[in-house]
Amino acid sequence: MGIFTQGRVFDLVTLVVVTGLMGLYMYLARSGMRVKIRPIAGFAAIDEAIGRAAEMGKPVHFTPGFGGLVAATFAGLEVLGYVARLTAQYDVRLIVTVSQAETFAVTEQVMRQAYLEAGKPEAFKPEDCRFISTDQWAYASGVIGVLNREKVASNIMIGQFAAEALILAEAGNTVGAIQIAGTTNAYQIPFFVVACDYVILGEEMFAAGAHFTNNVVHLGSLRAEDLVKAACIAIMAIGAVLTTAGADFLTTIMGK
Amino acid sequence: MFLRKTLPTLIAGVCGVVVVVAYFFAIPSVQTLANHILKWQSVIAVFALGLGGVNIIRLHTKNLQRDPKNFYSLALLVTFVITIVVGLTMGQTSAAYTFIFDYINVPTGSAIFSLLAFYIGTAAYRAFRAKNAEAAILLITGCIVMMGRVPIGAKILPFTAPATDWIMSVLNVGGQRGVMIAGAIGFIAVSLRIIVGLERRAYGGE
Repeated sequence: MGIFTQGRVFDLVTLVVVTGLMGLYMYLARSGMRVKIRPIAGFAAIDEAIGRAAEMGKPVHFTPGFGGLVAATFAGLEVLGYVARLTAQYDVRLIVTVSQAETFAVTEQVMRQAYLEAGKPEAFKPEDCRFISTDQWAYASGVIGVLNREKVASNIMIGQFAAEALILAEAGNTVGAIQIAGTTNAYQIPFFVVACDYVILGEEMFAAGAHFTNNVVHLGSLRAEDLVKAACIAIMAIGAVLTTAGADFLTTIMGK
Repeated sequence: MFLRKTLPTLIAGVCGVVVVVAYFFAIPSVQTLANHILKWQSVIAVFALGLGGVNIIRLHTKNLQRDPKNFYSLALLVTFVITIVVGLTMGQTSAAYTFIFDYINVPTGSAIFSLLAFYIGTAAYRAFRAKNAEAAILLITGCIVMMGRVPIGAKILPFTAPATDWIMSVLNVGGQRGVMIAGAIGFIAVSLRIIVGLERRAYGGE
């Protein structure tokens, strides 16, 4: 294989094609191509959750989860930007809990920027962006404590979650908060589905930028993602037919 | 502007490209550089941990100033200081530090983890109420899987064992893979936007 790492050539070709498509659609979206996205109930419910907190005079809690600076966390931070802007506008207290130190610095900056964009930089309180712990269960117990002591009206959990997902969701349910959750972790989605009012399923999270800001770059990239998904479905269907027929050249190519 | 936006974007872009190239190409010099970048990431994370520690101290000191009877903040600050002092003066392999870890940290973590068993029960109770057609399907499927997963269940209703295997290996795996594949494509999109500096939230939202 020479310069290429054995077993990763097909992955490289896929990455180049996907990157090319995304670049192309981002360019087309910037050039004026119209991209429509379907409404996502979980995102639409965020306004309702913040409105409820404003009516009740109680805080909103947000957490981007247990992950470090990974793609799901960035999707969560995109939502946080919107939530923080809205809470600043309605004078609702927003408490954000973070589990990873590297995420904490970015989260605080996102909040600060959102309050600035809302025209209320003085309303941002650094103590409302709280680093809890890098230990999974210490983080879970810290969030349970915040939910109970602060008596939050709305609990928004969007980002990377692991086994603590159900513990957090049930704690939010116990305090009677309206709950909106989202994660790409397929094993935790069912827990959110049973314990939360609205769930943003997997890749829907990555539409946050496009949904909240109509950012053309995000819209273009979403269109490219849909095309790649369609290609994946086509490859799976063709692969299933070929494998059933006894031809293994597609799996051989993919293994290169 | 340069220090807050351009420089971080440049660093993220260069580091991202180097790590990706090192993954796909067998070029020793690039792979060495990528390994160094991954080590730098750990070093930067340690500095960030310091920021987190300062945040914890600041928050709980304020809590205590507001309410001197705030037991939780007091307990946190005292244990925080004791753990740091023991770790720095006696070392992480000392008996005192091991005691803190084995007899305080691990049991409290396990206690929180054990809550999951009770929460699964309460969540299942709510989920298994047949309020509509979807919930009824979930209820029936859940009952079949529960019966099929325990020996006595499969003895009482023999069809549940093969039905469970089919549900778990076809319906469940199919759904999970759909989420995983779509999520992975989203990951690529976000990573690409970060590397080229188009993901504004990655740089604090400016």
